[in-house]
Amino acid sequence: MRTGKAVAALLALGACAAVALLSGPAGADPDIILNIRVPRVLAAALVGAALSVAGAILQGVLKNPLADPYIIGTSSGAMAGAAAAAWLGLGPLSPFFYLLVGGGGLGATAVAYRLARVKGRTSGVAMLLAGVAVSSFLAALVMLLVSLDRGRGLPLLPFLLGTVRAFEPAALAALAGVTLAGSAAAAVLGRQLDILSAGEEGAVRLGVPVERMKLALFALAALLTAAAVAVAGAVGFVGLIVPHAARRIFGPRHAGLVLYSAACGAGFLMLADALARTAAAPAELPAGVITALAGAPFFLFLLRRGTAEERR
Amino acid sequence: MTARAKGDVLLEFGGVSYSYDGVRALDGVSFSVGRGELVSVFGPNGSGKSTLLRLACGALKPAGGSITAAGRPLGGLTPRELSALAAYVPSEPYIPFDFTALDIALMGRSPLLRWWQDYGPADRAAALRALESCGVAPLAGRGINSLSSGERQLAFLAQAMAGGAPLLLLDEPTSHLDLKYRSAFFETLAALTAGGLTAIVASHDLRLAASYSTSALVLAGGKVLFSGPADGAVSPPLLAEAYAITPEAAARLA
Repeated sequence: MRTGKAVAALLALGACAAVALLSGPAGADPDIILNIRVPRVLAAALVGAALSVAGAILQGVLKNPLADPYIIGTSSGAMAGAAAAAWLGLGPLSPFFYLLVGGGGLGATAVAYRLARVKGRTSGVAMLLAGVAVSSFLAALVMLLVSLDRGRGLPLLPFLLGTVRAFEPAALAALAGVTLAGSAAAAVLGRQLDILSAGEEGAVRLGVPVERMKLALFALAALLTAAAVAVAGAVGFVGLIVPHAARRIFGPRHAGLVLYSAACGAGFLMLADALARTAAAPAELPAGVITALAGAPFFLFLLRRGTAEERR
Repeated sequence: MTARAKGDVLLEFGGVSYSYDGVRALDGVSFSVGRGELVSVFGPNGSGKSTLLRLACGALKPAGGSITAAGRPLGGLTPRELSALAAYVPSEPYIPFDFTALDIALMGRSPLLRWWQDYGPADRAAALRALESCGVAPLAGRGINSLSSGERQLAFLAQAMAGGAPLLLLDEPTSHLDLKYRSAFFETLAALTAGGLTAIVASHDLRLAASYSTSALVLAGGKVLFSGPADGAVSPPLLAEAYAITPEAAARLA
C-alpha cells in the first residue's frame, strides 16, 4: 500500500509537470517549452517543494498544524532584504540581491529564535509569538520603505505578492541544491521529528537531544524558506496547506511526510504558476494570488471536515 | 521493601533531596525497590510524587543524597544507559497528530537507535510484542486519537515497554480512566511485573493500586511518611495525616 501511494504521488507529479509545460499563450511550441517553460516550471516545482517541506518541518516542531514557513519570521526578513536591495538600486539580476534576501530571512529567524530562548530552552509557543512579532515589525518596515519611495518600491510588487521567476540560473541552482539536500535531511531526521511533535518532555526521555534538534530543524526550515523566497517572493499558503493535506493522505510520520509534501508542493505550485501565466494572458498574475485564491477555500474545507470528524 | 539480598535491588534512594528554585520538593527520601516489585507512591498533590519519578529516570539531578541503579550511581549513566534502565508513562499525553498505536509503541525503540537510523524489522517486532503484552495489539493500526483514553494509556505503556528497560515509572497513569480501564491497566501492570519487570506508580487510586502492589511509599510535604508493605499504606490514621483530612474521611478512602 505504501508503494502504491508513492507511485500515485509520482504519477500525479508527472501529470502536473506535463500540464504546466504544455500550457501557456504560445501553446505547445517545442522551442518555447525547452527554453522558457522548462526553467520556469522547474523553478515553480522547487519553490513549491521547498516551502512545503519547510511547512511540514515547522508544523511538527511547533506541534501546531497551523504553522507555516512564514510564521518564524523568515519571509518578512527576506522581504525586508529585498526592499533594502531595491532601496540600494539592486534588482534580481544582481547577486547582492540574493545575499540580502537570504541574509534577511535567516537573520530574522535567528532573531526570533534568540528572543524565544529563555534559560537555554525555546518553547514552541514562544517561538511562534516571537516569529509573529518579528514578522509584523519587518513587514511594517517593508511597507514603510515602499510608501517612502513609490518609484523604486513598485518593482517590488510582484515579489511581495509572490511571483515565480527563472531568469537567474545561479539562484535556481542554489534553490535546487537547498531543496534536495533540505528534504533529504528532513526525511532522515523524520523519526526524531515524530517524537518531538508528540511532546518535548517525552522526547527528552526517548533520547532526542531536544534543544539541538529544534535549532537544527528551525535552521533547515529557514534555509528552505529563504531559498524559495529569493526566487519567488512571498508565495503564501503553499507551506500551510500542502503539508496539511499530505498528512491527511499519507499519514503523520515525518520521514514520509516531508517527501510527500515536497512532491505535492511541487505539483501544486507548477499548476498554480501555469494558471498565473495563462489566466489573464498576455498579462501575468502573481502565483501567490492564485495559491491564496485556491488555497484559502481548500484549507477552510479541510478545517471544516477536520472539526466534523473530531466531533464524531 | 522487605529484606532482600543486595543483588536484587534495582533502584535505591539514599537521603535524596530536591528543590525547584528554592522550594523544597523532596526532603531526605530513602527507599529501595527490588526487581519484580510493583511499588505504589501515594500522597497529596505537591507531595513530591512526580519529582521522585523524574529523579528516578534521571531527568532531574538530586540536590542532596544518592540514587543508585543496580549498584551504579544514576548520575554516572549516559542518556542512552538511562533510557535502557527506565522508561516513563505520562499521565495524559496529548498528541496533535494522529500517529497509529504502532507508531507510538515504535517511538519507545528510539533510544536504541543512532540519530540517522530508522526503525528496522527488529524494532517493529519488539513494538508489536509490547502492544501484544499490553493487550492492544489489535489496535496497532488505529490512530492514537481515535482510541479511548484507556486504550491510549495502554499504548503508551507499550511504548515504555518496547525499549526493553527493566524499570517502568508511571505518573498517575489511571487518573483520567474509567473503572473498566483502571482495572485493566493495573491487571496489565501486575502481569508485567509478574513477568519480571519492575514498576513504580504514582497514583491517587489508593485501594486499587495498593491491592496490586507489593509495597508502597506515602509522601507528605516531600518526606517519606510510610514505607513498607502495600496494605500498611492504606490505614486511615496514616492517610489522615498524609492528606490532612479527618480520620473519619480517611476511613472512607482506605
